[in-house]
Amino acid sequence: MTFRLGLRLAVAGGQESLLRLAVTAFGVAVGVVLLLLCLTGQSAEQGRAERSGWQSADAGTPATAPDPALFLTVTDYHQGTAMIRGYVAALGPRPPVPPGLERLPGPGEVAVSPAMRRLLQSTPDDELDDRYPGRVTATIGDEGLAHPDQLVALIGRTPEQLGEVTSRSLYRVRGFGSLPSGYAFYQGIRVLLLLGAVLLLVPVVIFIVMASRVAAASREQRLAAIRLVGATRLQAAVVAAVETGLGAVAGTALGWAGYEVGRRIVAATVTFQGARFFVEDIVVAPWLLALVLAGVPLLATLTTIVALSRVQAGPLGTSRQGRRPPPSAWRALPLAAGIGGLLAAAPLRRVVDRETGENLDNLAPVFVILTIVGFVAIGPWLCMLAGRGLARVSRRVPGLIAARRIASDPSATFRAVGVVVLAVFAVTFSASVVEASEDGPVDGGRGVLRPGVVEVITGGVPEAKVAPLLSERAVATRPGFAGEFVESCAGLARVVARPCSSSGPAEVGVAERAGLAGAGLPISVVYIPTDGTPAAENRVRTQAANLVPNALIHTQRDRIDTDAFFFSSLEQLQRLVWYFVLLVAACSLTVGMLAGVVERRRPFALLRASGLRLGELRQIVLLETAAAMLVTAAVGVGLAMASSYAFAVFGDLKWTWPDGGVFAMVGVGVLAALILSAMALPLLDAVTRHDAVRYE
Amino acid sequence: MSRILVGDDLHRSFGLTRALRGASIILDEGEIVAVMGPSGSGKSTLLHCLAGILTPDRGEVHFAGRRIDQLPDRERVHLRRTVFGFVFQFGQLVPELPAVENIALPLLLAGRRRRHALAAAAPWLSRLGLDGLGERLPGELSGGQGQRVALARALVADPTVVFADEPTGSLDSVAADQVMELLVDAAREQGTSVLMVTHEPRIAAYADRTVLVRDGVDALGLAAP
Repeated sequence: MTFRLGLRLAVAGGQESLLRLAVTAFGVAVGVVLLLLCLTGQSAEQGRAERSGWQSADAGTPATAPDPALFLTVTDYHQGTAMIRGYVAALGPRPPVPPGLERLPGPGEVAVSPAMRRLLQSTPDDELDDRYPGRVTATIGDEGLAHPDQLVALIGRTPEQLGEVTSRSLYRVRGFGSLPSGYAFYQGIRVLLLLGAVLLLVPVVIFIVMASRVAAASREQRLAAIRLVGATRLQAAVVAAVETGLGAVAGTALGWAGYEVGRRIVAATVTFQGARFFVEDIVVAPWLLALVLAGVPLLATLTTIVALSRVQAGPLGTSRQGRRPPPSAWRALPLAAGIGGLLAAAPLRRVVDRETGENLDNLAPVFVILTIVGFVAIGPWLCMLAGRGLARVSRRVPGLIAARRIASDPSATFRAVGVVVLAVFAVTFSASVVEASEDGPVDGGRGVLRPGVVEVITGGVPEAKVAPLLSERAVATRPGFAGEFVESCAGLARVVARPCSSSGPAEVGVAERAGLAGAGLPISVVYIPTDGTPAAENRVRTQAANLVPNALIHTQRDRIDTDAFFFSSLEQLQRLVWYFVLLVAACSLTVGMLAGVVERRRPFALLRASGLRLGELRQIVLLETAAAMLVTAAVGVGLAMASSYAFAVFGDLKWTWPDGGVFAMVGVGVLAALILSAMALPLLDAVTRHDAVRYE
Repeated sequence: MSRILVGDDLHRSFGLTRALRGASIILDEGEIVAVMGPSGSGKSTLLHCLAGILTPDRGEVHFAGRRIDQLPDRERVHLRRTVFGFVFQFGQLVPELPAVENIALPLLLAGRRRRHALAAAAPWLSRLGLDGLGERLPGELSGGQGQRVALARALVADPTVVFADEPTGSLDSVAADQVMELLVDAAREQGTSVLMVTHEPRIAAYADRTVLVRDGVDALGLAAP
């Protein structure tokens, strides 16, 4: 019965109750869209890794077919973009087949990805097509590609042709597995994405909680009216819960629909590691989707009930249960435990055995999460300090009211600004980690190529095999007992910046040795200068690939891309996260402002009637937000750097200050969130007009 | 006594509802006038038009000989914050400000230094029987105490006219009498005019004169003395 009354009040209570329901539903819907999108990160990267896993199959890949096949893949480049060039030769009638294909390409046949097919059609034959000898007979389906733009070609060969290739990368395989060979690397990305998701989840959940509380003030008035006619506290709570639950269920459904649209937009527009995603990758696991769809309405309903427990809804009206005790410095305990845990575990890791070390490694995410939770816990305390500080220095009414508001309910204030502050924390933290990671070696110790030079790493082949590449200007290095040798260091310096010793064996790099050509040593690397045009480089690449199929071929452009790719992708991801969180933050701030205004509609309207200017009311609302946000954001930057330092110490990474660009990004982001949220200010005029002064 | 506030032939509609239909009223300096009438008769609308919160659709409002209903909003706001004081039925106190700061609010709005504004507000606490309650938040005060704080806030800036809209509407009779006695005493002491809307004859009895409003007009023709 009470349930039905709640339903009736929610949907048949006239325009105002419908509007309230719509506001709650809209807020929850936005939260659900953002929540689901932030949960897709992991599955997106996982999907890529699993579908492209066959491209790094090796002898250890579990068997799926009765007959084996020879398999070799090489990472190639076209104008800086990576391409997978694979060679395959069946060793029996029933060889394994990679995903995305119905059968292995036979000798003289080539299977290509759709993007590769388009590239081949638009590029001159001597620059690219000739690199894939044979006739294109099949298209690799999506289930064998990391992403829609991946460039893959699988060339069919006879066993004899492939048998000529002397490479440790040529495998006899009986299956094409689904996990990439560098799975630990992907696991690393997954941990990063998991941490990112945790950092994103907290703001989104806060936002959903806030959205479900926008209409709290007017709901409390109605509850008093229900109590007046004899409803018990429990019945009043059920009515409120039904009303919020209904809004949340509608919002969740709306959010789910919005997510279905949103994930298509993300797939079409967002790139990571230089490529778009398949729509099927931007998807939440069914159990996670079910959890969100059931959990969000539950969370919203629980929030209402908890909020109601702090309100005395009596027959004559509602009142807060007195002043809540102000937050104390004890709240810093989890934060101290998180940062302290990382710092304390770092030296322990160096002295304990490997197994204990791994256990300690597993604790790292726990300490990071503890740090984040700790930061959320001290947020209200920081807001309270900000409020008291502002009250002390305020000389004008807007500042004073804003300061008192912050200090009287610092938890509510932090809820409003918490998302921005958490975003600031997350960006600063991740920027420090990225900066720290970038200090590692990046060029693999092979030196930096001069512009226009093509480097062909053969792995050691007879001179005759690469003779066509050995033009007058080409430079070759040959392996010896004590490193690599070159005819002339001066000649090498023209093609690559690499340490070269002209007097005796080099400790690092290459040593000069005259008369190498007649020594019969194999050739390990050939550097071929070109005129620097992509066409000339591609022609050399094609020639080299046909001579030594397993050769690794680079140009300066490729090397730069390769080295910086992962980190630039991480930076791109970081920027993406920042924009995402900024969006959540702006929504949260807007909802926070909205809730603050709606809650104080009457006193604000009466103050306005008494002569307070609209501009002064706006200042109050803006100051409440800005003061708390600036103080907590500033502290957040400091704490994020402290946390990232502790993380760097724990992970044996070199910690560096985030550069000025990061601080600028944070500053502009905070300002942008504030400006976006100021869009709620026109509402202040509407809700404090004459209507709100009347009692009826 | 000179006329301080005059409302002449005031009309005001809200959509299809005609709240005022030619109401007229005069308030003299230092005079306390009660506006009475049944619910929905337009008495609050009349008060809001006279105070410059609303502008009438037709008719004129004069304050101290100056027509104010045609002033731009900015100037009407200035009037309300400098020469008018307000007491409403409930909910007018800023919930986050302690009582003493709520009282000091008009002085702070007028640009007085905070220290001076609080010093000027403090005597009102004892004057209205609120000793020791200055640091309490509105939510920690009883209804009567809250209305006394509102009263102090309305009078602290020494306004020319206090507009009181059902000032005792949410109080029991004992608290209502206390508030009215304080309002009348303070107004008399300061020479402040009071225009008070009420539907209780007992409260109206505190006034020098009563105007009865019915269906948007002054029903008994007692608008002018």
